[in-house]
Amino acid sequence: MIQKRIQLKVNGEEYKLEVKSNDTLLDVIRDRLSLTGTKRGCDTGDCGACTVLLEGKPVNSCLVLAIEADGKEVITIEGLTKEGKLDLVQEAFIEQGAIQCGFCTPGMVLSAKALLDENRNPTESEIKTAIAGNLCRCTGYVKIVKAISSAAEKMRKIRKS
Amino acid sequence: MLRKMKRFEYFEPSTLEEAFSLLNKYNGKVKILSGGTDLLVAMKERGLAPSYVMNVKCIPGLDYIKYEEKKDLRIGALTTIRTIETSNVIREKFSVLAQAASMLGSIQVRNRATIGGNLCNAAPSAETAPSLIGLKAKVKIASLEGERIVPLEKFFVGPGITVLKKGEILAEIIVPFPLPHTKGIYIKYGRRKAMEIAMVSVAVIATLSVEGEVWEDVNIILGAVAPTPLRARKAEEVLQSKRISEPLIEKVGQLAYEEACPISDMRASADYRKEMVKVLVKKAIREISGLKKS
Amino acid sequence: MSEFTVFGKSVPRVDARAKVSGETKYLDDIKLDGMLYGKILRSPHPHARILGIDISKAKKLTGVRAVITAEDTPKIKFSFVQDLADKLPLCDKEVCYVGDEVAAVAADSLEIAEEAIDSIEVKYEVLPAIFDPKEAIKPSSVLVHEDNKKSNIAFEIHKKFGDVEKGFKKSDHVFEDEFVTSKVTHCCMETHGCIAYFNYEGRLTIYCPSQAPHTIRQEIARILNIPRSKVRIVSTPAGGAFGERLVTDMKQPVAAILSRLTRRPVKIVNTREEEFMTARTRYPYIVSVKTGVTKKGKILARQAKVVVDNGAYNDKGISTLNYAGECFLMSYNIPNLQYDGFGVYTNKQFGTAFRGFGNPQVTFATETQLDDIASKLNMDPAELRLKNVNRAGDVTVSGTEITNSGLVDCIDRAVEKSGWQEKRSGPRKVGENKYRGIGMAIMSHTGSGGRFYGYAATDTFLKVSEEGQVTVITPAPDIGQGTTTVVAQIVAEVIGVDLSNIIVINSDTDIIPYDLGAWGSRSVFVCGNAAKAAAENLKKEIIEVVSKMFEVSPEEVEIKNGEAFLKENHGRRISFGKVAEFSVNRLGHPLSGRGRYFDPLASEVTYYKRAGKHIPTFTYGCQIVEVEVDTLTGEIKVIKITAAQDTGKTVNPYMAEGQMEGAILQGLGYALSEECLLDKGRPINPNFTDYKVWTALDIPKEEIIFVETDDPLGPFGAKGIGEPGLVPTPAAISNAIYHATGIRLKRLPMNSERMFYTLKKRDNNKK
Ligand SMILES: Cc1cc2nc3c(=O)[nH]c(=O)nc-3n(C[C@H](O)[C@H](O)[C@H](O)COP(=O)(O)OP(=O)(O)OC[C@H]3O[C@@H](n4cnc5c(N)ncnc54)[C@H](O)[C@@H]3O)c2cc1C
Ligand code: FES
Ligand code: FES
Repeated sequence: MIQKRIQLKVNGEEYKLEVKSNDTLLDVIRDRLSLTGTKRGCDTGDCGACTVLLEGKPVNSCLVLAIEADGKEVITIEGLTKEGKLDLVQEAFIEQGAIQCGFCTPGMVLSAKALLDENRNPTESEIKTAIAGNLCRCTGYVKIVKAISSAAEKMRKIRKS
Repeated sequence: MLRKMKRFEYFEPSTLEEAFSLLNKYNGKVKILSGGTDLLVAMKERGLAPSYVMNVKCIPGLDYIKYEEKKDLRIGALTTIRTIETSNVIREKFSVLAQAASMLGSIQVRNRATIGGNLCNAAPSAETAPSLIGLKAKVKIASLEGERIVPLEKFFVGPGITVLKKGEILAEIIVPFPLPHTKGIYIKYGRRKAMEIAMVSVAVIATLSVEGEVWEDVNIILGAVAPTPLRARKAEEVLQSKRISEPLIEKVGQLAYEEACPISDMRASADYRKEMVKVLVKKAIREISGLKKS
Repeated sequence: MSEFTVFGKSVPRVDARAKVSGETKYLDDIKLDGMLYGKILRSPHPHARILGIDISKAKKLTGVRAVITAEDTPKIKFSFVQDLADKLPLCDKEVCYVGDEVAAVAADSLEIAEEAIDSIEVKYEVLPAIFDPKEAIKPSSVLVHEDNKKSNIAFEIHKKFGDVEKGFKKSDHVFEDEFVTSKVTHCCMETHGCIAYFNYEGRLTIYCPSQAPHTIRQEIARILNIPRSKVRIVSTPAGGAFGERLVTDMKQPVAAILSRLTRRPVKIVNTREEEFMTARTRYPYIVSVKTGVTKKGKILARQAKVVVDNGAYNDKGISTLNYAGECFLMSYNIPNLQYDGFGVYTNKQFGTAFRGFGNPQVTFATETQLDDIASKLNMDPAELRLKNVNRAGDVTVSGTEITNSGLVDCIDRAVEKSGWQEKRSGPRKVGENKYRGIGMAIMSHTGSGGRFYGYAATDTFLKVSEEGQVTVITPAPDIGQGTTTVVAQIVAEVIGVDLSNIIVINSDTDIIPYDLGAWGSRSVFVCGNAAKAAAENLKKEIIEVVSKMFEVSPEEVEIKNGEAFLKENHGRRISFGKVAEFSVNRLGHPLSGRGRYFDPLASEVTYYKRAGKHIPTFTYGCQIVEVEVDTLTGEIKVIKITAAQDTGKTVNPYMAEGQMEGAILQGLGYALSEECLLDKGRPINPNFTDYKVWTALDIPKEEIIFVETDDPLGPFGAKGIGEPGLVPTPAAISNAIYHATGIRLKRLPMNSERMFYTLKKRDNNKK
């Protein structure tokens, strides 16, 4: 088939839509669902700006066909804010000054989120590895790494208490 | 030209049989889609425009890591690189493969990329190939006619070309249980610490004598320095059944240097690649034998 | 510090929440009703004559709404400096680089637009092309512009003070070296794009990320031959800029023409490959430097000859060359200076402004050579620099008064924090084939934009709503560097309100005051000063109102923390909101303020003339880098960077550190790994796989030190520091490599392969 009706669960909401075979998940998220927080920086897997969580794992949505995401669950940056409240990782990015132009930020935050979901106590090198597929041209990464480690710390504290 | 992909007819077979019949029906015009991290990039960047694309990820039973002590390790072709990187059994018993897996692209890429795709894409720099060849892996190839098993070393024919025939699918990678006292190391050389296509890569896997002094079975495989991953046979032979020594290491490095036949491209000149082969092979051997150069 | 409440504090950016939650709408996130997708057909040849263009197939495709060639354009040539105009939005007779614009379409979808572009047939007669600027400069060279130019020399800049020949004669040693820098590009994570919409009244709106919306407005008007008043630029939040969004990009007029034909909004966005292909790069320079010194290390004369690889068209070529010359004259107190620069056309993608604006190229040359001089004189490189640097109060031979300088402090602090003394004399060999070294470089750079345009002024308007919301209308573009936050901080500081009470509007030329834009690290200085002046005027008005409320004299009133109170009686206080209400409801007028930054000297300075007066205030920096070189592979690992930077006064430490850390990473890439590679003019690495921007795993340790000099001209003493972070980095690395290995690399990038062969050559020579 060249077109297919697919069902996606994005940020907890179900969508049914007709997609073309050559539409990527990124195309559909941005153009059809208008969730433009997911960015296109290269379209070839090299920059990580299009990172989303697919079944909980970070992937480059520019390298996933929409058609193959049928029946899957996707979290985009818009899905991290719950009832107007930011996720801890997002808060840490703000507090630590980890944002400049902000274009890499959504992808960065999702990569960080995926790391911290699995590992509450990451080393600096684990943090850097987790975001190595997310290029940032503005910050030099220093404050991003700090933000992620401070978010991890906060998460650990919350868990303890 | 980087473009939106051309439209194609999309299939999602749910059994291998269905996949085979699609492959046969659209003889030569159908592309297999696993993780898509090579295929989709080629379709966007290099104008590859298959009429048919067949996603094999819905075929059950191709995504697994099965390990049988003293026998072998079997990896389904659809197993992702990330799964391999993080698999306990692979990290413990086949660390040279886990090492290679952890160096491919980024986590986002590794979450999609499959080992089958890495091998079938047959890039001279394919990350997992040197380690797997060094571990004497074989691949199980399936088609309507049945299955055949090919040593991975014989699998690659040229850049982007393998022994896979029309109608065939790579189904499994079989890694024999290594002999005791086998050690391996994979070194990837590039300009960045991540997101790098190897400029040169080297896997050295060797079985040492009980005392660890004599090199009994030596495998030296080079990536990105020939049309396919390359065994440095002469270099291997020199080490065979030998006690390690500095002059010997020098010689092995020199032979590997001579065997490499890379091209010059934007990533490096042919000559520099050869020089790096020499350096890295020596480094790998020293590390395995616990030698520090004096 | 304690005198301030918001200024000088690491407050979060005002736009952080929108950015971190994915709400910020960048250009490509905007969809207008009826919008079409545009695409440009680009030349596949570095140099060719256009013999014919067949657009018939493209026109027939369903969904294609317009197809245009040069015939549909006014054919007015353009350049940033109009005297040097050479670029048509769509090429007419000749294409001059791979990527040159040839035709364009607008269609219902991007997919159709791409199909349409691919169906256009162009007949070319391929012409000989020239790529090497040293060849191109020769009179016998093939011409890049066949039609109207007599030689490939596009422009020249000459600056001469004192007499260098005499200086060289007096010198004990004269050093001469050639340095070559590479083609690197901005790599904004957001590729460039625009949406243009011509409405039925013939008024054009262009949405695009922009660093200089008013400049772009003038340029578009000129190219389209319409009055400026008919053009409105709405700048969208920029996903990076670094100089790339300063000068009109041909997508903008092309989209405008497509929109005029279709009467619909037209969006054109670069693919990453197009971005690299048409990336207006940092200009590659070949810099020959000659320096004469006494035995004791006093520099008596210095001369630079610069050949700029201009690429196919003029853009900021002459401006960067000129500016780099200004900086060349600055850091050191040298009685004889000469600077001669030539911009040379080649059949390659052209350059534009890029963070540092020519200064990194020339600084790489001069600061590397100075290190060499230190080693020949057997002097500590820090000492040699300190012996020669300009200090506050000095007047340079070119006539610049050094009003304020943190340079000496920067050197001292960096030396101290980096463990310079110890590491200079410590062991270099740290392992098998591993050598460590430490090197330094300094820089001077504008901290205040410049008077290059003959004026340097802007306004800021503040309005207060009836319940106390403050709106700042400023021209300061926020390109990620955080000027909206800086401006808000300054206003908040003056009128004593909370940052959350402030809204900044800075994006629409129909609203914002006229201004020259964000370049030359000028926004903090120029827009910051204007905002401060506006806030001070508003404060006066507020105080007047409060004095009426309390029936006291204005001198008795103070405002702070969102409240007004009496200096003598803190119990009598009233909230800012209540004051605003009182003003509107009782006095019958809202509160507002207007402020201006005006630089009277600017009008005396004409373009490229009067060196020494171009820049109101300079900022200074010193970087010390530690590297480890693997002599087997040639790998160069940066261990640590210590960067001391003169900030005047740090407005927002987190943001200022962020500017430095980001710039340093670009500097590292420039020094070691990044390069736009071309094969006969064709880009061969137009992607992030092979254009090596560093990842998080590649970064070294960094220590940022701010030296505060309290600039008398800056707002609360602040200077701009958006650019300087990368200026000294390549030279410092080169010098560290020399310290580690005794090898002097004079060509960028200093990648492992280059290092390897240089080492090998040396070892062969030794044998
Ligand atoms: C940003 C980025 C970075 C990368 N970095 C690296 C790197 O560092 N090292 C490296 O080696 N690679 C790298 N790659 C390439 C790629 O990710 C790997 O080669 C990956 O393993 C390919 O697997 P896949 O499942 O995505 O393959 P696909 O793209 O799905 O397929 C690749 C090819 O193999 C064929 N194929 C796939 N599966 C089968 C099968 N079971 N039987 C027969 N044919 C099949 C397909 O038809 C296609 O021709 C990178 C890619 C990207 C986008
Ligand atoms: S847009 Fe997908 S990785 Fe860059
Ligand atoms: S903040 Fe601009 S790319 Fe990361």
